[in-house]
Amino acid sequence: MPGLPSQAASGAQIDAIGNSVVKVFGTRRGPDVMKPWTKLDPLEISGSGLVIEGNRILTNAHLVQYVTNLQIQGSQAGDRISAKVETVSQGIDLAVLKLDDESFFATHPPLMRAVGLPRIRDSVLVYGYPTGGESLSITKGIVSRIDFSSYGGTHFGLRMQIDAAINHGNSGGPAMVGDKVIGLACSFLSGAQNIGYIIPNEEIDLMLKRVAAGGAYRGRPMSADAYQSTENPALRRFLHLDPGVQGVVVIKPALDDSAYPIKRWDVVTRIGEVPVDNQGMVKLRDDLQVSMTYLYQGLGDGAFVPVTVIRGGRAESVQLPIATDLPVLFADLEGSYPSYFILGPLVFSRASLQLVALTASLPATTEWLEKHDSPLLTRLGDKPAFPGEDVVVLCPFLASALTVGYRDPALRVVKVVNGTPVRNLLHLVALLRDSKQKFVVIEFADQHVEKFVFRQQELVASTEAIMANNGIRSQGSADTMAEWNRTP
Amino acid sequence: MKSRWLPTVGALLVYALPFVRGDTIILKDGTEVDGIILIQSSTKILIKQGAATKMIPLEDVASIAKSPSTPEIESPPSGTSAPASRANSERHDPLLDSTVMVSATLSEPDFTKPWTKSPPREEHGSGAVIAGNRILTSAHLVNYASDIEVRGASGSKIVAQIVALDTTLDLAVLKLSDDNFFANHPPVEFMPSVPNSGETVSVYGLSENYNSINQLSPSMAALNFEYYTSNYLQLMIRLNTRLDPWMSGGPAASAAGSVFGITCSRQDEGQIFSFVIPSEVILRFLDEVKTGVRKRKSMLYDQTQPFENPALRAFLGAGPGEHGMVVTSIQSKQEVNTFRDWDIITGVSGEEVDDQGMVHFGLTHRVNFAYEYQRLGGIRETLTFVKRGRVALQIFFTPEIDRALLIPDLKGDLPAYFILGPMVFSTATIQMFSQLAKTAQMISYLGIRGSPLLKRREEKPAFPGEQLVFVPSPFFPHPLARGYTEPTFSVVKAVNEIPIKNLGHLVTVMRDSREDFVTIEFAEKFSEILVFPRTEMIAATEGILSDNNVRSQGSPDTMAIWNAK
Repeated sequence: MPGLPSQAASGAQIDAIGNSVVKVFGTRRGPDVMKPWTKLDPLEISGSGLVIEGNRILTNAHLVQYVTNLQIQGSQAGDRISAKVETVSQGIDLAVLKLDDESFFATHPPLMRAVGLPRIRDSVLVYGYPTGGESLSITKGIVSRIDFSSYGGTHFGLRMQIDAAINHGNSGGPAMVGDKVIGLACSFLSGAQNIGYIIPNEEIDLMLKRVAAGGAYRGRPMSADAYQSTENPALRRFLHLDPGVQGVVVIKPALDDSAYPIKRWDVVTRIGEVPVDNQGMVKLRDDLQVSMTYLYQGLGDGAFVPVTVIRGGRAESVQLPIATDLPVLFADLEGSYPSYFILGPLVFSRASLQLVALTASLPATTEWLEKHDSPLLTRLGDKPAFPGEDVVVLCPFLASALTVGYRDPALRVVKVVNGTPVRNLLHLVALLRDSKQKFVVIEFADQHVEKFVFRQQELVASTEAIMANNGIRSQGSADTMAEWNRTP
Repeated sequence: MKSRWLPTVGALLVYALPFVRGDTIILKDGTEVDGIILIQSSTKILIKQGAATKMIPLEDVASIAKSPSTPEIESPPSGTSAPASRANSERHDPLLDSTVMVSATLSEPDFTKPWTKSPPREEHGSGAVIAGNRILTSAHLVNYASDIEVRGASGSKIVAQIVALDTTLDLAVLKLSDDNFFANHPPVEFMPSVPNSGETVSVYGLSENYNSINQLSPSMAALNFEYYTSNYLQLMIRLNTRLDPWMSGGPAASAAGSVFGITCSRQDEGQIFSFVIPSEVILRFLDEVKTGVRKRKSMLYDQTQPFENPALRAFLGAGPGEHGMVVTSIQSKQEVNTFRDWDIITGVSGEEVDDQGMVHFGLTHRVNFAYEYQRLGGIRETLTFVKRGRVALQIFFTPEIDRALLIPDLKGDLPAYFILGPMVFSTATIQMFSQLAKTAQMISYLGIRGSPLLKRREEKPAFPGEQLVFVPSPFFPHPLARGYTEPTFSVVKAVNEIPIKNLGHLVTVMRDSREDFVTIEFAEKFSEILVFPRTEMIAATEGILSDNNVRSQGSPDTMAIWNAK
């Protein structure tokens, strides 16, 4: 990789860099998963961003998710300028903003990104607007570590660790080597010291390129096969691996199908031409080793990546299936508000990753879920059992005389309505819409809970008054209302 | 709502009470009423006659003749609803002599290291002297005890031993090394009647400084049928205050001195859970101990719900006078005489069931109807009145008895385990699970990995003898484990591709294998397959045990299998 420019930036350079770093302001109204018809109380947020090519601002997704009234402010000027989110890639925690008044860019040019990854020990300066003061802050450190790891959700990517102080508010600000950007500050490890994380240029470039080509960035391709290391000597003998052979062994292919190209006990030894070691790592540079999954993006075509496996003692070339966005049962809301539908006192909602994260953080709730064998616990890591499967929950009752004699259903999982198993939220809405029965009978997946019986006509008739009573503006989210109003 | 049938509690009294007394009430009109006086209040006397109980207004009574063994029953002073505290009486309260202090050093298992024990801890509580020179106390005070000592209000400690233990009911019977103790410590007699709500009662037990025997006067709150341990519903008497854990095991008596149960109190994570175990539960347990015949615990497993909601009532076509509990989910495994979804249970063995599922108990209490199936446990069929659609049916329902659980109660046993090479295996039990799954993070971790410990927690065994075999601890440090991630808390699915049925089966498979390798697969997502060289793994065991100060490679049951050929 080409060497990077002189690392000691001059005073004039620092001023120039500061000129292209912005402070980001906004008001966040996050989703309220227990009351999906409304939002959490507004929260003022602030962070950092940088000017990039094409008259755009680059910042973190987590900063601008659920934020309205977005504004940016240049380092020397007091005026704030309205901004809008153009694209968000939640998985890699990046977002691109547009400004209402682009004249800002005439006096605030973009910062250029370096080509290639910095080396470990390179000096880094982080620019931003962290807590503890109002004006631009610069902190200094070195590149401590580069690895390929999870970005919190289902996305993986290269991630740089530096020891420059990164605090709340630094999110979205650039990390510089010389006058070039090497990445974006995104987080720090709380409870540790001097461990801050930077999203490197390579991830930024991948995202921007994909978005420019049209469409959303869904992350790097991954494989759904399960591997394990071949370090253990007995395991190696069991696999009849020669001492010199290095690779990882497949212990569970993604599919059991005989047509699936990968088989159990295959030992993956190369991704393309790049050798894989016993822990599944590949060497990119003398100072850089990362998980072999990193190579799926560069060496694959999006659907397959050529690999070499040892199978039955012989080396074979195989096309390993890869994909972005492997489906999960409890999906991330990704900046949207939870889908819901209200009928009478009943609030149905689609369970999201945010919902199960909330319940997992509340000990009393987790205990209830455990005692009742709730799918919110037992199916936590699952994929959908069939395409389009949702887990539908009932939120706490809205107050109504219709619920007398029934315990509050908060977070019970709806399994069957009028004898039909519920596939997803829209299916449930269709069932309620099309029912010709006098009664609505609701059964739950949880153990030791009641069944609910209501009169269909009473549920429908009471909805308006109940909504008015609770200040609820819409009976459902856009998708459920479209389904409710559709003539079948 | 008035019951149309006499309470059938009386039937239980007759067969449970091993002793005979006779009291006689002479009425003003000259007639005599023979029986056993249960309660005497300021306005009436409750007397038991055979299977029935009779309420006699005090104004009709000329005189009362009690049999010599009847304890003095004091009438409460008129004008007050609560009797004066016994501590104020000049006479010595005999129940203080029937209460003992129990202390024990417990050497409980460590489920994450099943070859050893948790550090010893002391328990201090109470007990009640019972007939036959025995002490009744709480099982949790003495379970896994290495030594137990009993002492009276004055006098020295006497060594005691467990004669019987029931961890589900939380009751234990002790015998003493010196029966002379019982000369001046008379037994209590358990009377089956339950005090009325609001009545002041007396509870006896260890004092807070662990040095003497105290008496407290809380009042009766409610009689409930609820969960205490695991999946077993039981009758509990709730008082209006929480009783401290050191009161556990001591007798509880009504204002008239009639003992109606013993206190059960334990502390878990800073919370105290306390109630009184009623006499009838105790008498059934003592009868089991005496006869050696286990009256197995019957339970209604079908799920029911209240019949209150108007739409639900309309859906099931209920008239305004129809009441009962609705069956919502059949969980029982009977093949005949079963309920069906949406059946309304309107009556059980002579009791009407109301819309909250309650039936009368005695004269003043109501409990959940499912109690009736447990009370008559041992009697096979229980007459149940059911409305199914428009039809009223009578079903002779046999409740399930002692359902086996996949994850069972250890009942005072030590956990089974087996060590081979660097690996430890044990079986999942209720006690292990409570020690393990204490935090929300742990439960979520088990959830994300799809652990059977969570998914199958309430299941019955899929086939007789099925157990969940799991790894309770990390590897013992050894090169054989090099390169493997710790499989702690993972459930074993198969060894050498043989699905594992239980711990004994795992030991058998490992013992009889002639393969070069032992491959171990786990049930959870994202788990590794562990491969060990078989002969080396076996050969390494002795050195690993000695390096880690482990006395025995396995529990007696697993070692018996391992050493057999």
